[in-house]
Amino acid sequence: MNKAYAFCLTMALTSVLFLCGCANDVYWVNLNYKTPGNSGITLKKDSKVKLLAVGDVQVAQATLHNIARTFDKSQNSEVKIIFDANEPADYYILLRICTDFRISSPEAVPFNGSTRIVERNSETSGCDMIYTSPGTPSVSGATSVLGSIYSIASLDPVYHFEISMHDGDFAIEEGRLRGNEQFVKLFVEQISYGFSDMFLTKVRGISTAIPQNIADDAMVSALQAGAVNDVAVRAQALIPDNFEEYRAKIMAVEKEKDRKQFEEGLCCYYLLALSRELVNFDIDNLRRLHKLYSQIFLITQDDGLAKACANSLARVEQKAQISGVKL
Amino acid sequence: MKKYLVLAWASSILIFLVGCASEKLVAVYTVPAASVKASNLSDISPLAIVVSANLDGNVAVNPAAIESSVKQQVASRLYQEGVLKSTDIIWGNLQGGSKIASTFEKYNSAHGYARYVSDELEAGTLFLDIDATLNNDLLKETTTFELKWLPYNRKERKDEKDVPTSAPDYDRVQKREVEVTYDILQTVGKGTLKARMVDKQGNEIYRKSFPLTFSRKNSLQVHEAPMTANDIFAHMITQPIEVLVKQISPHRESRALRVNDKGCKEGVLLLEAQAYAEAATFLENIELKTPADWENLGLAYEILGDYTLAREAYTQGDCAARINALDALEARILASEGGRAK
Repeated sequence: MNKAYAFCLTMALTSVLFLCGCANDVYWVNLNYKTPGNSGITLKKDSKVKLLAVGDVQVAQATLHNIARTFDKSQNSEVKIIFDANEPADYYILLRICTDFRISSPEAVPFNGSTRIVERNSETSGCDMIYTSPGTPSVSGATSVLGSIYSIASLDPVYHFEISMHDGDFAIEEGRLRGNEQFVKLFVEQISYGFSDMFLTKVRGISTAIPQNIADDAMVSALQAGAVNDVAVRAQALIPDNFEEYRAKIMAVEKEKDRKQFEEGLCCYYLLALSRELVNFDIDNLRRLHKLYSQIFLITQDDGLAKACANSLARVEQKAQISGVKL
Repeated sequence: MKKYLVLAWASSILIFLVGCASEKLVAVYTVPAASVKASNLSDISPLAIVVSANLDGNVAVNPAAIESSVKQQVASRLYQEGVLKSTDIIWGNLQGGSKIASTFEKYNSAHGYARYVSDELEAGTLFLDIDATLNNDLLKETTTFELKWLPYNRKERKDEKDVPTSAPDYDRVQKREVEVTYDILQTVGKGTLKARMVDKQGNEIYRKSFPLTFSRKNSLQVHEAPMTANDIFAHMITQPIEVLVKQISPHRESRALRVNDKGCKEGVLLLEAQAYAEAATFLENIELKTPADWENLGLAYEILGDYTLAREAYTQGDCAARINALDALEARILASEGGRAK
C-alpha cells in the first residue's frame, strides 16, 4: 500500500507541477491595438458615405446625426459622412428602422401590480408584512435596425447588419416614466455604438501573451502605455536594428544550449513587433509581422516566447481573415 | 485506507484533467440546405420575400411593422449565410422610401439587389404567412408566505443610561404561514408561420409550417414592464427563422475537433493558439512526420476549408475516423447537388 500511496502522490504532484509549469510560461496583458471595425468592411480611404434612413422618422433622423457625430469624434479622417442628396458619394449606408413604443393604457395598469414581503420595524419589535403595490403605469420600447451598405461603383450590397434592443420600466420604480424622446436617445446611442464598433477604426483592447521570464519590463510597460516610440528607443539600446543579422548570428551557434543567451534579444524583437502591430493594421505590415513572429517562433527555445508568438500569429491571422486577405 | 483511496482519486482526476487539456478546435463548414437541392438554388435566387401577418389578441400590434421586421430578419440571415441572395425591397414609411428612390435615380440605377428583380418573375419567392395571437393576461396565483414577528428586548446602554435601546430576541421569534392570492402578468404569444417557396417557373419547391410560441410570466422575484408587440414577436419568430434558413439555404455548421497532442510540440502549440495557416505551413515543412503530425496537419487544412489537402494528410496519417467524417460531409453536398427537388 505504501508503494501505491507513493505512486499516487508522485503522480498528483507531477500533475500539479505540470499544470503550474504550463501556466507560467507567459503572462497576459491587455494591449490597445488600432483595429478596423468588427465587420471587416473597410470603407476606402477618403471616401464619401451617404447615410439614409427609412422607417421611424424620429429615431432615423436622430440616428443619422448621432452616427455622423460619432464618425467626427473618432477622428476617423478616412471617410466623410454626407447628407446632401445632390452630392456624389462612394457608398450608401441605408438604415431601415422599425421602432415600437408602448405606454400602458388605463386598462393595462392593473397588470403592473406586485406583491412582496416587506420588513417593518418599531421600537419594540420587527415583523414581516405582505405588501401589494397597486398597478402603476409602465412604458416599454423596442427597436430593430437593418443596415445595408452599398458601393456606388458596383451597386452591390457590401454588407448587411442588424441591431436590435429593447427596454422598459415602471413609474413606481423609476419615479417618472421615460417618454419617447428618452427612449429614442437611448436607442440612438446604442445604434451608433453598434455602428461604430462595426465600421470604425478604433483602438480596441486585446489580451496578449508576454513571455514570463525574458521580457524586458520597460518595453512591456511602454507597450501597455501605448508609448510606441519608447518601445523603439528601448529596443535600440538592447538589440541591433537588423533582425536578419541577429538571426544569422543565432543560427551560426552550433550547440543549441549556447543559443539560450539570445532569448532575451529575441523577446525584444517580439515586443518591438507588438509595438508595430499596435498602430498599424495595413495588410503589408501584418504580413511583415506575421513573418517576423514566425521566424522568432521557429528559432526560439523559450517555451514562453514560443507560446507568445503562436498567440500573436493567431491574432494576425484573424485580423487578415476579418479583412478578407490571405497572408 | 480511506486516505489512499482519496489520493488515488485525486491523482486520477488530475491526470484526467491533464489528458483533457488537449484543445478543442472549431471547424466551420458550409453545408447544403436541408430541404432544397443545391441545383434548385439558381431557380430561386435572388429570392423575393413576401410576408403577410394576421394578428389578434389584446396587445396592440401594427401588422405592417411585424411584416417588415420578419422580412428584415429573414433577409439578414440569408445574407449572413452568404449563398442565397434575397431581393431588397424598400420598406418603411413612404417619405423614406421616396427619398431613397430619388437618391438612387440620380445614378440612373436601382439600389443594390433591386436591380436583380426588375422582372419579379425571374426570381423565386418565399411566402411567409403568419397567424398569431398576442395576449397580456392578468392571472391569479396563490402562494404561501412565511411571516415572522420578532420582539425586541429593552436594553439600557451602559455609557448613556438615559438613552434606551433594544435588541432582537431571537428565542421568541414567531412564524406563521399565510396564503396569499395575487395578480401576476403573463404574456402569451401563439401562432403559426406557414412558409412556402416557389421557383421562377412557379413550381412549389418548399412548404413547411412552424409553430410560434412565446410565454413570459412575471413572478414575485421578477417584475418587468410588459413588452412591446414587436419585441414579443421578435422572440417568437427568431427560432423558426433559424430553422427555415437552414432548410432553404446552404448554411454554416460548426464541429469541434480535438488536437492530437502526441504531435510535435510546435504544431500542437500553433493549433491550440488557433494560428491555423502557420500550423499548416509549419507541419508541411517537417520532414519526418508522425501519424499525429499528419492528423494535426489535416486538422489545420480542414479548419482552413481545404478538404482535399486535409484528406491527403489524414490518409497519410491513417486517420480513418477523420476521413469518414469528411466523407459524410461530402456525401451531404453531393446528395444536394445530385438532382432537382420535386
